[in-house]
Amino acid sequence: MSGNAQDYHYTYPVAVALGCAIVLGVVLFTVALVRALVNDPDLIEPSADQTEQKAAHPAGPGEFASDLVWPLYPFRQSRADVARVRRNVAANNAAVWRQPARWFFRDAKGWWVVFPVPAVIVSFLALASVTSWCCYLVYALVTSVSAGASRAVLGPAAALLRTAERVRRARFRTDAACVRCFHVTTWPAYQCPTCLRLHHDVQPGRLGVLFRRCECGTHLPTGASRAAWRVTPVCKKCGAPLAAGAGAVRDIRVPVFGDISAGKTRFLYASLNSLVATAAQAKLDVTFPDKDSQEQADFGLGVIRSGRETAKTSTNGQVSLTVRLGAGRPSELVHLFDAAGEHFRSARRPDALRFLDDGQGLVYILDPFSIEAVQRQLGGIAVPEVLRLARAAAGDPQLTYDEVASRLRDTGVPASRGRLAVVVSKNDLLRRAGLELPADSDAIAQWLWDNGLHNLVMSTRRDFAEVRFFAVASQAVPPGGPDDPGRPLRWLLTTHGIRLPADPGLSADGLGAGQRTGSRHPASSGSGERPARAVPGKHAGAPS
Amino acid sequence: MRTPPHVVTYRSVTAFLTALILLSIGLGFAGYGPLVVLHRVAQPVSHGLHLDRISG
Repeated sequence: MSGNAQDYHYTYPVAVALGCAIVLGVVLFTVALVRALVNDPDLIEPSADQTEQKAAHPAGPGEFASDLVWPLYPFRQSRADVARVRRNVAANNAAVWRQPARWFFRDAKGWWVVFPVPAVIVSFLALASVTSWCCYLVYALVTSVSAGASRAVLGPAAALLRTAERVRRARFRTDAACVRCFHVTTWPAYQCPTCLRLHHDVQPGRLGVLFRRCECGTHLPTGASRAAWRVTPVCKKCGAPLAAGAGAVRDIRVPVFGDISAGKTRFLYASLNSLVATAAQAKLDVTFPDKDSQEQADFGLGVIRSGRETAKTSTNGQVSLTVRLGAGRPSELVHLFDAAGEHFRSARRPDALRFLDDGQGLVYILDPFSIEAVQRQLGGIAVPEVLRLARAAAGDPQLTYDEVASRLRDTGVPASRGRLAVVVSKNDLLRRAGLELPADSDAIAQWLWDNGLHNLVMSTRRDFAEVRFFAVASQAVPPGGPDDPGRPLRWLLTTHGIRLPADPGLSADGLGAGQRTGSRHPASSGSGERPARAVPGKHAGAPS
Repeated sequence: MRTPPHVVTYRSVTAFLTALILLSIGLGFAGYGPLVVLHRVAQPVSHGLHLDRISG
C-alpha cells in the first residue's frame, strides 16, 4: 500500500503541509496589513494632499490653493492604504522567497539532486504567496467597495449642500465686503481658532461635508453660513478680520460721494442717526461690529445730536462704517463708505475709491450752494451768516458726478443695474437763505433741471436703473420728518431687501407721495433757469 | 503627525470586514471543506487496511 497515492499516511501530511502554507500566507498578509495601517502607515497629510491638488488643478489668478485640511478617507487615504498594503505584501513575499530562490534557481542548482525536496518547498511557498495575495485582494475589494459607497453618499450630499448655500447666497446677497481694502468676495476666508490658518474655501466637498478637520486637528464647520458664526471671517485679499457672520448675512454697501464740502460726512452721520431711530421704533438692534465703526459712530452721532459742526474729512482717514441691523443669524450688515471730496475730483484713481465699484446703491451729495443759478439768486437776498455756515462746495456738481460715472464705466461696473440717490443737502440752510425746495423726487429733479443741472439729471437717469432725488438737512431730524436725512438710506436699504418700518407717508415699496420717478426726464423740456421760489427767511435749527 | 480619528475608524472597519470575510472563507474552504474531502478520499484505503488487518 505504500505505493498507493491515496494512502492516508501520505494525504494527511500533505493536507497539513498545505494548511501550513495557507497559514503562512495569511500571516504574510496580516503582517503586511498591520504594518501598513498601524506601525508604518502612509498617512496622506494635508500638505501632501494640497500638493497633489495643486498639480492636478493649478490655481488660476485670484484663486487659492486647496486648504490645508485632512481629506476624507474615501477620497484619498483609502487609495494610499491599499497601495501600502500591496507594497508590504510584495515585500513580505520577496523576503520569504529570497533564500529559496537563491538556493534553487540561481546559486546552488545542485539542490535539485535531492528532488522532490526543492519542488515541495517551492510549492509550499507558492501556495503561501497565492494565499497572501488572495487575502490582499479581499482587503482591496473591501476597501474599494467601502470607499466607493462612501463617495456615492458623500459626493451627492456635498453637492446638495453646496447648491443650498448657492441659493441662499443669491437670495440674501451675502457677498462679504472688506472695509479696509474694499474687496468684495462671494465668501471670505475663515480663520482656524487654534492655528490661525486661513481656510479659503469652506464649501462642502472632499475635505468635509458637514465638518472639516484643519491640519492642526481642529474641527471647523463647512459652508459659509455655518462657519461665519463659529470662526473669524477674514478678508481674502488683505487679511483684515471681518464682522461675525460675514459671508452668511445680507451685506449692503452704500458709498456716498460728492464734491468737497458738499456735506457727505455729515449726511452719513445724520442718516445713521435717523436709521438708529427707525430701528429703535421697529425694536431692531443696531450695533457696530468693529471697534473703529463703534468709535466713529459714537463720535458722528454725538456731533449730529449735539448740533456741532462736522470737521473736514481727512484725505487719509477711514472712510467706512459698518452697521449691524438685528442680532445673530437674521441680522444684516450695512457698510457706509465716505471719502474726502478731493478724491472725487480724480475719481479714476484705482485704490482710494475702490468702494464705489461694488456699491449696491450710491448716494450722490449735491450742495445746492454750489449751483451757479442758486448763487446768483442768493446774491441779493442771502443772509451772510448762512453762506458762511454753508461753506459751499467750490466745484461744479456735474464734474464730480461725471468723474464717478466715468470711473464706474471704465471699471466695467454695471451701474445701469444699480440705484442712485441724489441728495440735495443743506436744505435747512437753503430755507434759511430764503429758497424752498420741493419735497418729492420728480419735483426736486425738475428744480435741478431748471437751475441749470439738466445734464446732471439726464446723466443720472441714463446711467442708473433707478434714481431718486431727495432734499435733506443733515441734522437730528426724527424719521419721517421734513428734511429727514434717513430717507435716502432707507430707500436704498429697503430696495435691497432689508426690513425696516415704512416711513410715515410712504407706500409699501418705500416711496412717498410724489416720490416715484415717472418718466426718465423731467416733465419740463425747457432748459432755461427758473428761479427757485423765494420764501421769507425762517431760521430753523443748526446748520447742516 | 497624529492620525486623525476618522482615518483610524475607517481603517478599523475595513480591516475588521476583511478579517471577517477571510475567516469565513478559511472556515468554509481552507478548513472544513478540504479536510472532509481528504477524509473521503482516504476512507476506502483505511477501510481496506482494516479488512486486511481483521482477515490476517
